[in-house]
Amino acid sequence: MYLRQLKISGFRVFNSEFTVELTEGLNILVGENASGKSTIIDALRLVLLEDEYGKAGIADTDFHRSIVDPAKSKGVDRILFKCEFQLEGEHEQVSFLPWLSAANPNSALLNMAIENKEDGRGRFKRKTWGNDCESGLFEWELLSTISCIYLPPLRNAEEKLRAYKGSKLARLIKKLHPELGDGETHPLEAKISALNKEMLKDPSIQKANRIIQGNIVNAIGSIFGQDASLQFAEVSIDRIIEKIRLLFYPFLPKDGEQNNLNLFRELYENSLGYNNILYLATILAELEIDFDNDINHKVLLIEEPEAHLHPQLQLKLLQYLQEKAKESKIQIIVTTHSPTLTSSIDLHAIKVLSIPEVNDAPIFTTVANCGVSLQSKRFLERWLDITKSLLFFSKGILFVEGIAEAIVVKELAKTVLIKLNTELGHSKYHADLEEYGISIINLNGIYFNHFFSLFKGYIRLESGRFEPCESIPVRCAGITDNDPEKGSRPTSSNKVPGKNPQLWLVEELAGNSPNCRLFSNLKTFEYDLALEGNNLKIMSSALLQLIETDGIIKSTLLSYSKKEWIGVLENEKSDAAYYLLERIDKGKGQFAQELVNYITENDIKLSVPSYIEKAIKWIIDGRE
Amino acid sequence: MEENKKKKILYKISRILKCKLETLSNLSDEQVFYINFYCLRSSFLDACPGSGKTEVLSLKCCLEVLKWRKNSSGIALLTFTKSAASELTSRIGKFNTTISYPHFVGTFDSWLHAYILQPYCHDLVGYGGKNGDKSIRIIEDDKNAYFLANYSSIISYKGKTLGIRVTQYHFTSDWKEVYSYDEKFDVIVKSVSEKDFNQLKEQKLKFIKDGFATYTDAECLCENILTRFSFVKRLLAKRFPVIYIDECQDLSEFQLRIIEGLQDEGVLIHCVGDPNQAIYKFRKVDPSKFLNFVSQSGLQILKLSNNYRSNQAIVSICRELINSRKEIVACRSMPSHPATILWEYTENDFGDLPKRFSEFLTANDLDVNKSAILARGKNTLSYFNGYSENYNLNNAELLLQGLVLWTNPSRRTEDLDSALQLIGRALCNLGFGGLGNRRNQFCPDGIRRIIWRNQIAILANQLKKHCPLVDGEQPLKWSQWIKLLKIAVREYWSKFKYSTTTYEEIKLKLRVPNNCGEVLVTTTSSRRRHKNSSLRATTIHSVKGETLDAVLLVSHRNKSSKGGHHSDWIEGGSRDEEHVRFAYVACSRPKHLLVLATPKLRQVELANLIKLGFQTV
Repeated sequence: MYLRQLKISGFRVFNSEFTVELTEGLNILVGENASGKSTIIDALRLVLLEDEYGKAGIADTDFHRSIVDPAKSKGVDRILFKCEFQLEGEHEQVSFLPWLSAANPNSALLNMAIENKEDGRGRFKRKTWGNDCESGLFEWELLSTISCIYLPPLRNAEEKLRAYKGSKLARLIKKLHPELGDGETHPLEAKISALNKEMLKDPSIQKANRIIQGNIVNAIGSIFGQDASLQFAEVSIDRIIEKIRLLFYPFLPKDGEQNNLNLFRELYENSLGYNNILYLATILAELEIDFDNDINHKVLLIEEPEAHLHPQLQLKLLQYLQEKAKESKIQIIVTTHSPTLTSSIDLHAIKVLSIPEVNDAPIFTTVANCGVSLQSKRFLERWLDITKSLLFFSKGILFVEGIAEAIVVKELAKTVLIKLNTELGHSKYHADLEEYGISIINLNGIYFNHFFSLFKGYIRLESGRFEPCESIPVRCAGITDNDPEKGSRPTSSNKVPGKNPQLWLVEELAGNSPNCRLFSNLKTFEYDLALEGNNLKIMSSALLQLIETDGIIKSTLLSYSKKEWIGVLENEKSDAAYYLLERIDKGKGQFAQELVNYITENDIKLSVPSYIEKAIKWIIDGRE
Repeated sequence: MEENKKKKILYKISRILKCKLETLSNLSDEQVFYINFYCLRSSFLDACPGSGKTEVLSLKCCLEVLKWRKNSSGIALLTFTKSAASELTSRIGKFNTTISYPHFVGTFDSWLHAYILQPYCHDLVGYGGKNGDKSIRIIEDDKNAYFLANYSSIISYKGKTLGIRVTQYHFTSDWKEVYSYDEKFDVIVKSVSEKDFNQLKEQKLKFIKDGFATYTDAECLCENILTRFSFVKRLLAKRFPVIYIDECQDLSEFQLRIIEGLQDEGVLIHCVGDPNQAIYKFRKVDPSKFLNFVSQSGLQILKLSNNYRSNQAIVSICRELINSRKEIVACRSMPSHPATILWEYTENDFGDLPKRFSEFLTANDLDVNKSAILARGKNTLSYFNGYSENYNLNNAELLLQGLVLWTNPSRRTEDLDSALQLIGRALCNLGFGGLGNRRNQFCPDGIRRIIWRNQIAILANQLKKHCPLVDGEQPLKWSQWIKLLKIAVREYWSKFKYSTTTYEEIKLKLRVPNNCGEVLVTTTSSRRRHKNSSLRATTIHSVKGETLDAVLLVSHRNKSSKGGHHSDWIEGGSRDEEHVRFAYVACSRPKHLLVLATPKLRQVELANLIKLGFQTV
């Protein structure tokens, strides 16, 4: 079985019913801060009665209050959680009978409501029920067959691994031994008590005992006197395992050898990151214990496992979790802000939480439902690196083809934003894309089709018709080169058909997608940039910085850089642009770098080609 | 009521309920008057069928709860069924109000048990408890579990001896009279000798001292507790100074006396109901006793006399039935088809009635799912193909019915649930003395429920493997099938580690049903209701309080039935008032269509029915 769906209403950020879809095995929840990731985790902890939180937890501020209501207002009347478990096979159906949905015997329903009304002890009244009937009989036994374990973010693993009553280590050791019958003692207990007896034979203890006995007799005489005997404190299995703690040694032993116990260090000497891993290992060990033949569903909730871990360790850990999830049938739900993690796992495990506009309720998107074709999925899984996987954390995305665009467009965007503010007469717009949370993602190629499929919100049916589907609700635009015949010099009045194989997307997206647009130009990025305004002058000046040898090239560029290009005929401009393009074709990245240096040092603004302006306006405003 | 005054009252109510004024605008004058009625005196709201009684009661309670200012005493809102209680809770929930501590909402029984029976009964009867738990276990009145054999009496009647179980008879609260809900036994126990009377009493006391009680015993004990421990009555009156009772015509004598006692302590009793719908005479409920209580205790009588459910034709028939002079206004418009129809059936086409009815419904655009076939007794209903209930099945039948559901290829949740319940009940009867609860599949004490359910499933799969209902093409007879059943159960028992009984001890409990040796098992198993046909066929009792779109009321074929023949319902003279009330309850359920099906009528009978308002089509 696994938890297939959780519906939350009235809890913190979620007012009206919010649906979380989950899958078997590993689930990764990503999204910006305050988008509700931890709230989902906390909801699960409450409803599944996770040890540390499930029983206490709720405070008056947990009841949803609209952001426009005063902070002290009372909040909604009721928090409601509804879980739906997918069951497999008759055994699970029979076991979970009291929770079975009337409509579907393969699903079990578990619900919890918390009323916004404190009782005399300041607690909020809770009600848990299975099935659809609130007043039915509830079998708590079933809830305890679902183990829910939670790992907090930035945790202090050292503290948790120390010896204390009810520690994770103590629990693990107790669980590993079969339940004791009446009068039976744990073998550890017997061993320790035998050892105690042995130790009492130590001469110093014997001597101390004799001195004490002597003093009693001397003090109060043999009539009132009492006998006394030294003993070690009572031993019971609970007391023994409470004293167990974990130590570490930084290296694994060689094959067939064991590290000398003297070498092990206290945990406070260890790094935070490694302590986290040690802690995780103890927890996974607990989850691994299988109860024979018994139904036992395991849910592991991990918040931000990337805390304190360097990227390679993050990856290693995640792969391990993924394997564990499969092998031990644990459902793992992870929240993360780490692009490292999202760049390296099965795309279908990713669930995105987004808040399209301030004050909007969060939106939950399951990547698996986005209509990403198998081909695109494979492509993305191979091509997502850390930079590209930023797309799961952005409020808007501009996809570009190459390094040159990635460098220059950032600057061009500033110009567009200034222009927008001037048009408006006041500064409604922010200064740059970062402030908007918009990322520029360099695809190093024209793979727009694959990347857009996460956002585009429609699928193409076999019949050729388009049908809307789920999508990550983030606006994104791509800018791509028209790429006509190599020698061509197109102008706005004399366009040349492009050879870019992705151009069909322009129209398809504009006609069907609520989020995505692709924009194209006349020829290439640099060529089109050069045609704009007085850019030829600026670009030639920048290129001159890279030319070391004197000659015809240098003198041509010098002449370009002295000329005022505004008002010059298109044909003349296109020849110059073509010339320029020829010179930088081999070092576009280097040129882009130089160009940005040049304009920032001299505080010059480049004119923005209209296709780029359109792309930026689309992402910021959704304006076409 | 003056228009302005009504507006003012509605405005006030909407402020307290924090709801929009429009949501209340449909309320009639009578309804508003009751909701606004200042409760300083006990009252009785006489509500005709379809008068919106539940809505009015929930609004009233909602209002009272919101106005309530005491912390440790509250209002008790009592109903007679769990579904009625949850219906009220959910309606009150619509106004964002929950009835929780210090208030109580639930069935009359659960209230009595929680506040009187469980806390004090062990003290009254001297029950020592089990493992420190002194709660009384409630056994259903008609329960026939094996452990009950310990409490049986052998009495002599007309020269014969016969056994009688402790759950089959009850005593009045002074313990001086004995009676039974079963008419046959009622006659017998009322005429027993003093010696036998003492034996019955002795067994009953032993049963109670062992920590058991039937629902009726529990009521009796509660009354005894209130008499013996007067502080309980006094404190309970302080704890619940206001009590609302829905369907008050169903109050039993015990309950009435408990209510009266509480009223003497100053409790305000607000009853809501319709004495014309009292149909629990077999449980010794007599509406005239309730009406006596109303007049003697001086309850203020209020009325709801608009029928929002049915059309005029149906309302008129209901009025005629009870010979009422009361004016009842029907608020639903007449349909285009005839609304009150009379069908005569013959022996041959009797079984076709369901088909004929559902065709008529479809032809007139009426919802089959919201319609029902009603009859007085299960006897009449059992003639309709597929109708049967799980009452009084023996262990072999339980296993058979459970197996059929378990092996249903398109098994739904409710099939799974019923299958586990049926087989669980048999397993509990066989190995654990039959003491258990339907809601946890009769799981015995001390076994984890998940394990129990999985044990049932193992037995079910064992039956599936070894007990086919047909041998190749040939359907099996009971005499053949029982052998397979015994083999399967024996094998199961050899591995079943939760019961201390051996197969030898239980094998006698697996028997062919009476006179069924030559009957095909498939015949027995197909008697179960076909879940696929959505047309319900059920008793009048089970639709009490419901609203339906259309009703087919079927008269028994002859006068042998008690109160199930059409002549019991309309002919004047010696008629039993309760029989008329059966018809009244049945006829007042539908919104649009009422069909009465009778056997071939004599001219006079036909004329009478037509005069009553039925049309022949």
